[in-house]
Amino acid sequence: MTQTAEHHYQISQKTGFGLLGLAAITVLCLILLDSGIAGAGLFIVGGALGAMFFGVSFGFASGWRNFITSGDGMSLAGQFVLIGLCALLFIPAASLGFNVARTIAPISVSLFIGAFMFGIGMQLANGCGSGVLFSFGGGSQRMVFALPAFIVGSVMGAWILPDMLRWGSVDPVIIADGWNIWAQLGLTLLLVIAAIAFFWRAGRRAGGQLSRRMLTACIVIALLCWGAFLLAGHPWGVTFGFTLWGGKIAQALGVPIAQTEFWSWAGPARALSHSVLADASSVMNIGMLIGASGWAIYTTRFGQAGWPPAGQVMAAIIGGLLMGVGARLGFGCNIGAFLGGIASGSLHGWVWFICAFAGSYIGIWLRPYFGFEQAGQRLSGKAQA
Amino acid sequence: MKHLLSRWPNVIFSLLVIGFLGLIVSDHLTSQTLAGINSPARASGACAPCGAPCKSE
Repeated sequence: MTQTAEHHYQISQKTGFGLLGLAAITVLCLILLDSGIAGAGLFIVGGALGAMFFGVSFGFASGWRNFITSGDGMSLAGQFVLIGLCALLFIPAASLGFNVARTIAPISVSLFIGAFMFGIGMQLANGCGSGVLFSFGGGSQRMVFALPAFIVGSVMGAWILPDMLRWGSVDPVIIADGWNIWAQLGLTLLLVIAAIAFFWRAGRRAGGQLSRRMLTACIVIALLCWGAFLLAGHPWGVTFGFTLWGGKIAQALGVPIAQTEFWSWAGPARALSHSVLADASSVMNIGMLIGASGWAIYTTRFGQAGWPPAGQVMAAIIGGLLMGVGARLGFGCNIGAFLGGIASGSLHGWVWFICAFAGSYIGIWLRPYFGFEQAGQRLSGKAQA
Repeated sequence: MKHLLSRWPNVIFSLLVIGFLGLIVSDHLTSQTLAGINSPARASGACAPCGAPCKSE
């Protein structure tokens, strides 16, 4: 019996590596044609991030859920360590002579609504933007439903964003704007350190610990984020790639999306008319999928979770749709808005974090209705009170 | 269908990779060549990662 199982797995591993190798080489050659060495570099960095995220199970959604349900903020403290490390380069880089731009975004009504929706969605789907990607790459059957829904949602979000921006919006706010760049960096680091201290103390009280493995992962991920930043010329973002994929599919199906307002803006219009392999976000996303798949197959963890029950499939679809719409209205996900925004010293990153966190409370409260296990005592206690 | 699902990751994974690869190649063949990396955030007048323009524009 064991022999049969091992034999079955060996075939799977062989097939997996064969297909992945073929995909990786084909995509890499096409990337070199479409976007040159920088694109190839981003593809490799994306692959390393996918392997890393999958290898250490670096999940934003689960870290937030741990804090909300049990008070353990250690994972959140780790996420802020990563943000602080990224800020060390993102904020002063342009002043140091690098041809780069920070992640900025308006403070708009759409930001509040979108981030809140994203927070609900990431708890229902059991993963955020990067989480959906690396879990899908790792063979998660749940994400077979969440990822397409995310893509559909982000096309819908792109359609309504221009109108929602007219509901109220102010231009991006850089924290300590007008101060010298080192003072800007200092103030952002101070806020990040305060967040680390807050969540670390909460984690200690709940009996959690920030392991050396997680800290090492944060440092490696930060270095890869630095690499992506220098190669792309801006911080790493995930969700525009989904919007572009959805837009391309819609266009291929005859939907005249090029005539809508979002796709007539200079950046999206340019992306729509060129290959997805010339888009920084798409290139990194594809790399991340392949990297996570490769690591999952190598460690024999590919697709082991099994098919989720119907309720959780529904949660994955609803969560994916909410994240898709929310990411477009809120200018990104945990990577583009939370990590990229805060590490760039942009106020919208903090606003996104607070709104998405509020949304996560609702998402966690909703999870049992979709067949997920009951939330921890902290949340259920509050719910009963 | 049940048999197909139980063969995950072999069958469905293979189909997904081949399908995805097909879409990428077809998009590459039907799109303009840029010969450089593109990001909407870096387009002129962009005020957000998706390329949304500034209100003041």
